Amino acid sequence: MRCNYSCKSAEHSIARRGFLGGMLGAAGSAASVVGGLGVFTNPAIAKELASQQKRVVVFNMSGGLSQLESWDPKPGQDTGGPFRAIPTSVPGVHISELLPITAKQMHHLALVRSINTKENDHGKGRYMMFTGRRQTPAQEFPQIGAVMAKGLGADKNALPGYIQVSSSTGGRSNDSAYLGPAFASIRIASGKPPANSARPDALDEKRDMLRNSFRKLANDDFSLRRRSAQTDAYTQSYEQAQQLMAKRDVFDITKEPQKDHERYGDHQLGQHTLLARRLLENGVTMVQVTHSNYDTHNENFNFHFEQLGEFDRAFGTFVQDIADRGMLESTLIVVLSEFGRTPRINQRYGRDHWGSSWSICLGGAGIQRGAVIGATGDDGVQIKDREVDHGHLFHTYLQAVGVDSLGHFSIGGQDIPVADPAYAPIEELLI
Amino acid sequence: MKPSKIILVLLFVVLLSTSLQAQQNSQLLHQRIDAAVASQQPVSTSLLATDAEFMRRLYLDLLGTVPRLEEAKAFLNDTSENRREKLVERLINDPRLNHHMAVAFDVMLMERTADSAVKTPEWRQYLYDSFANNKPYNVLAREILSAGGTDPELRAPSKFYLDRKGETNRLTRDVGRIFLGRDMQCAQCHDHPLIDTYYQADYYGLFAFLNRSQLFVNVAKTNYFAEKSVGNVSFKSVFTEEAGETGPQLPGNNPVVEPYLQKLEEYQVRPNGDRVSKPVYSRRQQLAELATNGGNAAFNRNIANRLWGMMNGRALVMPVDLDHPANPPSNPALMKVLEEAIVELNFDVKQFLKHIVLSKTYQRSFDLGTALQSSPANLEARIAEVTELKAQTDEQAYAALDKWEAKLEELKTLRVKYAEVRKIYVDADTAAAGQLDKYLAQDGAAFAAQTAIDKQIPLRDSFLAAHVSIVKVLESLPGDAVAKDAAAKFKVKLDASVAAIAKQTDVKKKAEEQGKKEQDALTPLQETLNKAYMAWQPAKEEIYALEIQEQALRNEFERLQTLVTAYETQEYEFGKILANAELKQEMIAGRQKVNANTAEVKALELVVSKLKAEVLQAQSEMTSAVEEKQSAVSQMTKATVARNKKSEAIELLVAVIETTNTATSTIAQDPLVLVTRKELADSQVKLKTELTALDAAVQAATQEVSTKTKTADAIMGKVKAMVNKLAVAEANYDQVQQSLAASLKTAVDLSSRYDESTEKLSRQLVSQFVVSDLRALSPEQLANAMMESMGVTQVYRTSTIAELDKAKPLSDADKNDRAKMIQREREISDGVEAKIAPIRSDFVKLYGAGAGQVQTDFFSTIDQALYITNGSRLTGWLGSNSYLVGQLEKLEDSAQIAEDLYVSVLSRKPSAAEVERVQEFLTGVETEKKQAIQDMVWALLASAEFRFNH
Repeated sequence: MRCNYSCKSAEHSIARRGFLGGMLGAAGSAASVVGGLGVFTNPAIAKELASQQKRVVVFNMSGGLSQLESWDPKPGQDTGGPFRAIPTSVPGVHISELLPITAKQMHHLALVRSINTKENDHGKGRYMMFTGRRQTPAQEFPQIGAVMAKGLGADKNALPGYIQVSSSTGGRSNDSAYLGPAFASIRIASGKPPANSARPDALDEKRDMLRNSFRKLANDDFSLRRRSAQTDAYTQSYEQAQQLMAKRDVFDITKEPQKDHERYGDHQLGQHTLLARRLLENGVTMVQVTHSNYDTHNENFNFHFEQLGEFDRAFGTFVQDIADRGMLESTLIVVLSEFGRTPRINQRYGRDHWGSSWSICLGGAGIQRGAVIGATGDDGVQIKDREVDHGHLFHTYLQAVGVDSLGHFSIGGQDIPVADPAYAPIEELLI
Repeated sequence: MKPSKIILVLLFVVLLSTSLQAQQNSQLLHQRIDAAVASQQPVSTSLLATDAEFMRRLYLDLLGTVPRLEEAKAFLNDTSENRREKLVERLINDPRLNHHMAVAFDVMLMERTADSAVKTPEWRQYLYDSFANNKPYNVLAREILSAGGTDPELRAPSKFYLDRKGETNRLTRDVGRIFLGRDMQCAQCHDHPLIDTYYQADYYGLFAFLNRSQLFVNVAKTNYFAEKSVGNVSFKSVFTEEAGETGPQLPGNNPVVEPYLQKLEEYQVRPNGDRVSKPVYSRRQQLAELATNGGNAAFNRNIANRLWGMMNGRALVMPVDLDHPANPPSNPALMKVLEEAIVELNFDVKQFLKHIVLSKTYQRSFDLGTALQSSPANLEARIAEVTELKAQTDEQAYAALDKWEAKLEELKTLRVKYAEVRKIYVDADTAAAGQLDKYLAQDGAAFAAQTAIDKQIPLRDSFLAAHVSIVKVLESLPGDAVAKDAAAKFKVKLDASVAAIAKQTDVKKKAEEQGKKEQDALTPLQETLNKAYMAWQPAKEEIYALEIQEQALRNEFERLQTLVTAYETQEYEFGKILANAELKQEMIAGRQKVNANTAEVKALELVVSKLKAEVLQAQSEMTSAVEEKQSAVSQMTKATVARNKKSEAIELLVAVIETTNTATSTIAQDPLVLVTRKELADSQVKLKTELTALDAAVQAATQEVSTKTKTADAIMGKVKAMVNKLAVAEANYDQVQQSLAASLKTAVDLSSRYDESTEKLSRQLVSQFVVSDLRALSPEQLANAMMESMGVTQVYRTSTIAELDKAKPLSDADKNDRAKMIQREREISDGVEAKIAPIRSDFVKLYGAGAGQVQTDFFSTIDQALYITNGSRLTGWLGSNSYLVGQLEKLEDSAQIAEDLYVSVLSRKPSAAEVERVQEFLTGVETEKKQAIQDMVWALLASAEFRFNH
């Protein structure tokens, strides 16, 4: 800020030091810089995490999941619809009867029932939930998956750090904004590993090994003259590629037992969720699964009955498996949407867009098991307690895997806040 | 430092800078560059890149590709003194440069933003033409900044605004970043939280040039950037609630003095009625003019800095869009040389680049080598100088800050004083502008109606003509059904057209009437405004005079502050170099200690082994002494036994004699007894004699034992002493060996710390341009270089030449016509570019950053490595039709294969070891020759040496 003084008081000189301070950021700045394992808030944790890398899975309930037919049922109210609420494995917590399998897993999960994003547009709502910020014309922000991949140092792995499970394998997306393409997502379909991961027919493994050793010799010569983080990263990427080529099976769920295929459900979401499990087990840092489409302006109840039937089976089984395999402590699970649906039921038995009082489900990693944050009134129209929005949630996801959401990324000489600095995490939701 | 010494240093610096100044005026730009770099250089170096390195660097920087095999060979075999100058001259005039610059400027200006209103090919063509015709950069920038899309000749440059959707905040940010080197985005809602000199008012000063322009899509769905004559800018900090208003103002410049126009005279082309409005006084035109006329330091500096960065990898101000006093250029003197030079050269980009690449600074080697030779003492002296300069400048900056702040206060007071008269004016202006809008709405409606009428008239006329002729036909052929029908149809059309005209005429009339009313209502408002302006104008001028002073003081403060932080940065960076040099000395000392310890260990080793030998010798001596002693003891034992036996015999004899004596007394004189007694007595005597001898023998043996024991004991003592000595020596040895291990560990530790520090030091050395930077090829450079290396480009070149020779054959006379040959070379280059440009998009997708993001940050991903490792593009280029593989396969001599392989791919000759490696690879495996060649080409293409420009 402007210095409004013209004496040489200590205050003056300190302020002017502050003025000078910016450029020596590397030398003296105390601000925490986020990225790789250095990001973790305390060194002891960092050490612990190095051996137990955190992972994140996001289920995107595209189109706008109805909170009333899922996490925040209001049976018996005008707004409640036809479905009942059922008890869960957490005493006193009820969710919709459309989610019986998930209900048995609630002790691994938590709910936030007091979200008000004040946004009823699909695109804008999605942007807010996935970036933790409002859209601005002058700047693009990275999506949660890219922030996680960067914050958790996923670029060091042999497998892509951020995968969107999809029905077709595609190239790199453009969702990492200023974090750079190394943290952008890659779309992967089961059995279809990333592009160019198979050795060409004309080249056998031995020849490939020989030409790579020739390449390494050339690199060794060059590195004697000059080495840099960039040259190291470049040469390293070829080793990562070789490792990935050896691990192509990771992308193929036909390698999973038939029994698991049945347990997850013989539908796209079931298959995608099974692939998500396989990817997470093999060390992929961030996986996103999309379930479409919940935009139920017509026949909300029929649609949710069908859609959530698929979801419940796949998701409930997934949560149980993750817990059974001892991965829950290291895996953050988030089920989100761009907004909820109107408590009022329209004439076509539908519900419309509703950003003022809705819910998400999350769990694992640093999230309190069985917690319920916030509440809505009897008819679900008003938030009664602990109103939060996309900004708070975004901070919470990051903190739950040990990324300091209040810190900065150092990008091309500039410090950029990891999450919107106007917000803070929901502390009572964190362990 | 003593004061006298300080004065000397200062005097020296002053002398140096004045003599530098004098020298500079007579020097060529590239010499001035080197002088500026040398004046600040913390360590001395004279190491230049090799010819091959220089060639590859120059091709990549100027043409965006690597040399063709024959080009490379020609240069590498050129032994003339001025071969580098000749190469620079040739490449500066190579048509490929225009293509490369078109790409580089496209990426710089558009940052790979997706096409919308103006497509990339049209835009690239515009940029290409600009470079081909050597359009000065400021003219290019002016065309871009003033473009609205209406001028068909200058439709392409409107891409900058239109493809950013004309969004004012985004444009404010991007004009600031890309043309002025200032990313003031964070100052949109409040003064910049981290950068003290980016004020909210600065952001809105730039914003005010742009906010009157908006994206306008006409009925025909064409996009324009249309400007209005109204739109004032006010802002309020979200932190301090402090509000402000500003007119257009460029960073570092004075506020713009704007003409006062009567409301009705504000437009050249009025808005509404599907018209692209154009004010008589255009703020955007002002932006285009004021930014680019050479008088805006931010603009000049930005392009000088960016072009320097484009050539050297490392810009002076980094990041290039954060130019402010706390982020100073790494060498302010060089920055000054460059920003002045670009203006002196009239923004001639090619000349500017030419001087950069002719400098020794550009031609530095990328080896750290000699840069690390400087002594700590020299560096300490350098740092002391900088510290002194900093202190001195700091004083000046304080003084300048005081002055500026005092002036700000003065200005604030004056603004308060005239706030009322200003408010009256602003209110009157707002009222009049509101009324003008109402009038313009009617004017637009009337214009739209007239446009419709104008469109309808020719239609009506043709219907009328048609109708008239068909009526004539009908007159001659009455009752003809076809003609009758046609006449009726034409009549319907004609009537509809006439009706439409009548309707629009009515609309127009009404709009004009209403317009007249609105205009009449404007008249009194205009009069009020005129009066208010008359009252405001002198105050405005008074304020403006003060604003000019304030701006000058601010600029001076910022200039000095920039220097202070530059010195501070130098202190810090030179400190790092010093720390490295000290670490190097420590490392050397550590190594010396290791050597000393090693010597000690060796010496002690000798001592120990000698002692061990001695101990061994003494031990064997001791063994024989002990043996001798033992044999003496056994001798003594034997003698003693013999003597004792004798003694026993004597005792028995004595007993017998005594018995005899008793017998004698009783049987006296028994002769037998007597004889026996005598014999016995004799025997006794004899025995006694023998005993005496035996006694002597025992004594002698005892004596011997005692002697031998003494000897053995002496030797034993000696051995014990020796063993003790050996133990001590061995303990010493262990100790020395331990300290060797410790010093070795320290040395290894220091060595790795030094390596690490040196690796990081390259940042400091690069920022001071002591060594060349290692920078990754851009996606386009990488694609071009791969295609060139593998001969893909060569194949396209050959086919392009064949096509041209067929379509436009050259006569022998043409071939001797220099102008025609230059033209032909340009056509070839265009043809090749058209063929390779689409292929590059693969690489851009993988190696380019996201749309609208900074494009210069390096990143490396697995998908890139997979593309190179297994991708069909490369597999194809290396495959059966591969030009390069085919050429290499034809060669018999493996040394020749090695040479052509390295020159083709890495633009340099292989070392002896590399030739050997190639030979081994060719013979060492069972794979056939062709495969071996393919694999080696691949390996070099995938190497770090290829991926980076160095």
